[in-house]
Amino acid sequence: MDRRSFIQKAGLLGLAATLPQPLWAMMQGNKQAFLKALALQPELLAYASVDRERDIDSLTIEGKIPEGFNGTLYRNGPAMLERNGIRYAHLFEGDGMIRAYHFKDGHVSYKDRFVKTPKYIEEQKAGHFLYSGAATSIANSRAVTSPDMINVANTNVITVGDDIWALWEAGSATCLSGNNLETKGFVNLGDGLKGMPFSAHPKVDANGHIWNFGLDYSSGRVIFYHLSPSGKLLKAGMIKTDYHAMLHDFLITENHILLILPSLDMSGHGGGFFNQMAYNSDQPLRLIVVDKNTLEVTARHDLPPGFVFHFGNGWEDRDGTIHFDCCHYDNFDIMAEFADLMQGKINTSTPSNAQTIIYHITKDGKISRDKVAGNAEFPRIYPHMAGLKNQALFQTSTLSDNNWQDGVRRIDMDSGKIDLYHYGDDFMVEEHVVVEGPQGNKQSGGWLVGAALHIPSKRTCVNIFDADNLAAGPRARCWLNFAAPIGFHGNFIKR
Amino acid sequence: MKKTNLLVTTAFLLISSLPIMARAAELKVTIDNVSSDKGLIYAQIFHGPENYTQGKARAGLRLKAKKGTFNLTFNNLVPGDYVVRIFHDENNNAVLDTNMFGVPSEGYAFSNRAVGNFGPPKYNDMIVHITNKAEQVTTKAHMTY
Ligand SMILES: [Fe+2]
Repeated sequence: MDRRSFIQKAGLLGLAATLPQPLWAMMQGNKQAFLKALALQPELLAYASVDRERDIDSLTIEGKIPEGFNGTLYRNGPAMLERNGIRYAHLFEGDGMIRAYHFKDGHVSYKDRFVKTPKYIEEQKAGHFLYSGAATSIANSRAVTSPDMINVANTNVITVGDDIWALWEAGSATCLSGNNLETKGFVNLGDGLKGMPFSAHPKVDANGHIWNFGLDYSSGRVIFYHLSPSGKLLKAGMIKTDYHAMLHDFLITENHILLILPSLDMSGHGGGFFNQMAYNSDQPLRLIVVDKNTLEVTARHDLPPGFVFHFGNGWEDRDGTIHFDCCHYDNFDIMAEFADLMQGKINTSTPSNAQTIIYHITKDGKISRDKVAGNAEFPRIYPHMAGLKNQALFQTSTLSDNNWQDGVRRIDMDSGKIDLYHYGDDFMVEEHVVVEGPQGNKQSGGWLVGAALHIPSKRTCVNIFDADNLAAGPRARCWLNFAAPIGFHGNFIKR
Repeated sequence: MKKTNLLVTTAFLLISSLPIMARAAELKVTIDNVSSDKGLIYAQIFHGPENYTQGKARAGLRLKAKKGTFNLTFNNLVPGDYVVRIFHDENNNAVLDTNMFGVPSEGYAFSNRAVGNFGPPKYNDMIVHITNKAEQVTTKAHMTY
């Protein structure tokens, strides 16, 4: 690779495409429109901008926290959505905030901190946005010469040793102290890897090894990472693809990496990276199978077209058949809905919902699939079952006529039986994560924990379920005294 | 790891090989944001757009790095348009290192404080004019890491 490659191709996303001035006025309009809508639709609190950090010593607890439920639930999501009267055009652009719910012997405390990325620090100092985002054009925005200059670290958070890593799919991981949430800086994984994208959906295998990928949007090249449990690079390798759009998640099996490219191309006409992406119903959902040892492609399969943010798990039979589940959309409208709600527009007529599809692909390329009834997002499994045959799949779900998740469910992958809890219309439910019980069984027992925003009281609560009996409802509900905007992903660690 | 050839050291000409002119012009470059004392600062000056496009530097400098603001001077210049590009070779391997996707992982800077947007700055944004034979011109550059 030479400098010319950077010169020609580091057009990374065209992220900071310069747009005409009237659009800037529209950005100010976003905030006005949002505030107007918020007065009528309190559920929009889920997408309100956060302007301060909080420490809460003690949460009000309803019910009883199960014995042995000790540890920290870390969550991440876009939180700084507005500065100086300008509101971002898309939810995914906001600066990330880490929320830590700490459980100790029946007592719960809370702390949140913005991830202090270089972008956050500069814009905080300036008092206004300095950089254009993937959908928002900021007037006189600063030039962007590397993805990390606009890294917002807003999508997921994993624990690595005593640290936590805040993740964003187009740039480096950002390291923070797991205790006080102070930002330490970008993670540099080694020679030649500084500033490389490290996606927001790494997979941690049964041995605690961390697997991840990163996509270079301009060239279509994908890098794979294999890290030790302490976050040290064991190996990395690259493959070439002709894919240039959003690639959010991936999977591992016992022997392979599954890279699944959605039916997106870059034929869109709007400004910024997000608006340049378009759904192409003639483009298959493409599965690329990569050997975990050599990091080389071993097979490619074309699946029916679709768009997927999230995969729950992948695994392979002894005969080489690959199985995986995904939250599958038939188009890419969901992306525009995340923009609409920034202006307070909630799509209540035909909201996008994902359907759970389970794919089976034999070694000789025979493809079959099962569909699970209902809709679902934010799939999770028992920790460290990644890549192994999972019996349980946990998801959030929309059960009422809402455009947000209002329930959680567990699918028994063998019987297809569904265990379900409906929070009801008053709640907006975030991703729920599985916590193994004291017996450490990775297929049953333990708990499911997750946050939900209670719309009428404008407060967020964290809920703890018995993982084997969601229908019984939460055993404990721990209340914050404010509404925390909806987050994307997080993880629980027993410390 | 592959290295960029942006500022290929072999392309550096020695100033002493150019004809010495009496009272020739000089260009002082003030570079801010140098991150450390580690390694060397490389700078190349190009005379006119053709030479820039073809990568034909008129002169090159290689100096011990110093944290903070860093000054260097090209002299024996004739009137004309010039651009300067600079990089901070912190690990002393004589090239601007990049990551595996080609994004520089060491500091770099351009005359006129020009900054590119997902790529190098435009030629016109980097230009420094030298109009008189004996002129002393100053330009600024910002080291980006
Ligand atoms: Fe995600």
